[in-house]
Amino acid sequence: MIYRNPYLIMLWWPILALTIALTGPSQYILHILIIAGIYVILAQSLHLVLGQLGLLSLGIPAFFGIGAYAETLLSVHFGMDNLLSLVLVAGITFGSALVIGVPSLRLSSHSFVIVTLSFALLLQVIAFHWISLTRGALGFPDIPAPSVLGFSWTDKNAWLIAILILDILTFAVFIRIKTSRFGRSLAATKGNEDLARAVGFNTFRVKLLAFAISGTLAGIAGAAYAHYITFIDPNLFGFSVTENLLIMVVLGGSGTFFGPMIGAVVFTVLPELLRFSPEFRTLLYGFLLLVAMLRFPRGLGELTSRIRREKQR
Amino acid sequence: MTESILSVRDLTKSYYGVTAVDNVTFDLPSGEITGLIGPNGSGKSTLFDCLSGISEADGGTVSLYGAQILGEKPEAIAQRKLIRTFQNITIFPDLSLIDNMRVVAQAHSGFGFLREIAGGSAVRKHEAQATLLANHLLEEIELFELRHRKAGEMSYGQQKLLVMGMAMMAHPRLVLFDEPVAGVNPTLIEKMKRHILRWHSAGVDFFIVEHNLRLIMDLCSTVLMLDQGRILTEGSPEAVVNDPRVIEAYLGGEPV
Repeated sequence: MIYRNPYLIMLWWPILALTIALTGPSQYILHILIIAGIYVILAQSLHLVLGQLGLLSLGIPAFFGIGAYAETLLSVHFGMDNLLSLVLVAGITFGSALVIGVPSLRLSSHSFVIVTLSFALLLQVIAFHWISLTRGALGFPDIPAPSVLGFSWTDKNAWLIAILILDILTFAVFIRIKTSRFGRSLAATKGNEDLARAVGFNTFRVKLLAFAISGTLAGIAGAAYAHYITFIDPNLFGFSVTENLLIMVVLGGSGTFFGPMIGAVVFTVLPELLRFSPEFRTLLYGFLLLVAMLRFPRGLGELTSRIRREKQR
Repeated sequence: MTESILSVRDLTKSYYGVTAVDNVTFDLPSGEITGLIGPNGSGKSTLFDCLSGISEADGGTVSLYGAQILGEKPEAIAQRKLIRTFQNITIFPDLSLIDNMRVVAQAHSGFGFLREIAGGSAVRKHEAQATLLANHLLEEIELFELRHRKAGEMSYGQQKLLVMGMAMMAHPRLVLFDEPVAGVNPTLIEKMKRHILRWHSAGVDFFIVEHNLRLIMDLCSTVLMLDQGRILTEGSPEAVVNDPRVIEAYLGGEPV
C-alpha cells in the first residue's frame, strides 16, 4: 500500500506512539509522547512557511499563545463545547495571521523575521499587562478538561489518541496543500518570486494564505496544549518554543517532506533521554545537536531519502 | 494606420539621478513583431521593466489595448496577457519542465487559492487542458521527452527554449522577449526564429530586445533604436540599421 501512496509512511509516528501506549508505559512516558505529538503540529506549522516558502517565521509562538488563551477564555467564560471552541480558535488564529501577515509579508524576508519575532514578544508583553483579560503573570490555572460532544477526558491514554488524531489531521491538511495546485504555486513562489509575479501569480496572496494556515495549525496546537497542561501563562509567547521548533525543523530537514515530523519526535524525546545525567544534560544535548548538524546538514529527513535511494539500487 | 497594441507616451524612469528611460514615446502596431535595439545600458531592459510593472516609472502613460497599465503590479499586467521574459534565464529550477509550463497556465486559471487546495472537477479540467497545451508546446520546442526532468538540470539553450514555451502557456496577446537568443548556438537560433514566427501567425504579437541584428532583421517589421534612454530612430529594419546615427551609436561606424 505504501508503494501506492508514499505519504502513508507518515503513519509511522501514530503507529509507534500507539504501540508504546499499548505496552502500558508510565505516565511520564505517555506525557512525553503527548508533548511530542503537540510539537509535531507546531513543526508542521513552521514547515509550511519555512520549508515550502523559505520564510523564517519566528511568530509561531504568537499563534500558539493566541490559540491557548482564546481556547481558555472561551471554555472558562462561556463553557463552550470544545469542538465549537476549536473551530472558533482556528478562525481567530487564521484572522490574526492575516492581520500580521498583511504588513509583514510585504517586507523583505529579513525584516519579516524580525517583525514576526517582535509580534510574539509584543503579545507576551500584552499578556503580562492586560491583567483584566489574561490575569497577567498569574496565568490561568485549572483549565477544565476538554469536553467534545459530551465526551470529556483527563486520562493520558485518551489524550494521546486525541493528539494523534490532530497530528493526522495536520498531516492530511499538509499533504492536501502540497499535492494540490496551490502547492505548485508555493514552489514557484519559493523558487523565483519575481518570475512567479511576472507570469501572473499574486505571490503576496500565496504567502499570506500559507502564513494564515500555518498560524491556524499553531493555534490549534495551543488550544490542545492549554487543556492538557491545564495551566497557561505569558511565557507561552516566549522564544523557547521557537528555539525548539527551529531545532526540530532545521535538524529534521526543512527541505524534506517528513523531516520536521521526525525532528519533532526525536528532539522532544532526546532531552528526556539525557535526564540520566542531570549535570551534563544540556551540555550533552548541545553536543548531540552539533553532531547532528555536521553529520546531516540537510536534516534527519535526508536519512529516509538516503535509505530509499539505497533500496532502489 | 493600423491599430496599436501598446501606446507609450513620455515614459521616464531615473535611477539615482541617471535617466535610464528619457521621455520615450512610441506605438507598437498590432499584428506585428517589433524589435528594440540599442547599446548596453541604453535603457532597453529598464523600458521592459516599466512596461511589465517590475519597476515603477517616474512619469508618462502606457496603454495596452486602450487600458492604462502604468502603475499596475506585474501580476496584474500579466493577467492582461502581456507576458515578459527576462534577460537572464528565469525558470523555476526545482520544478519539472511540464510543471514550469503548467504553473503559468495555473496563474491564469482565475481560481482562488482555496479552490486550488480544495480541488474539484473544474480545477482538474483546467489542469488537464493545461497539460494538453504544455505537452503540445513541449513537442514543438522539442523538450517533450525531458518533460519530467527538473528544469534546473537542463542546458542553457534548453532553458532558453523553456522560457519561450512558458510565455506561450499564458495565452498571451503580447510577449516582451528580453534577449531570447543571447548566448544560444546558431542552429538553435534558427529553430527559435521558426517558433516565434509560428506563434506570431497564431496571433501573438512580439516586442523583442536583441543584440543579434540578424534575428531582428529576419523577424521584425518595425525596429526601434534606443540610445541613452531616448528613441534615436524607428522604422523598417533596413532603414534603421543603415541610419548613420545608428551605425555611429551602435555599430561603431561599420555598416552591417
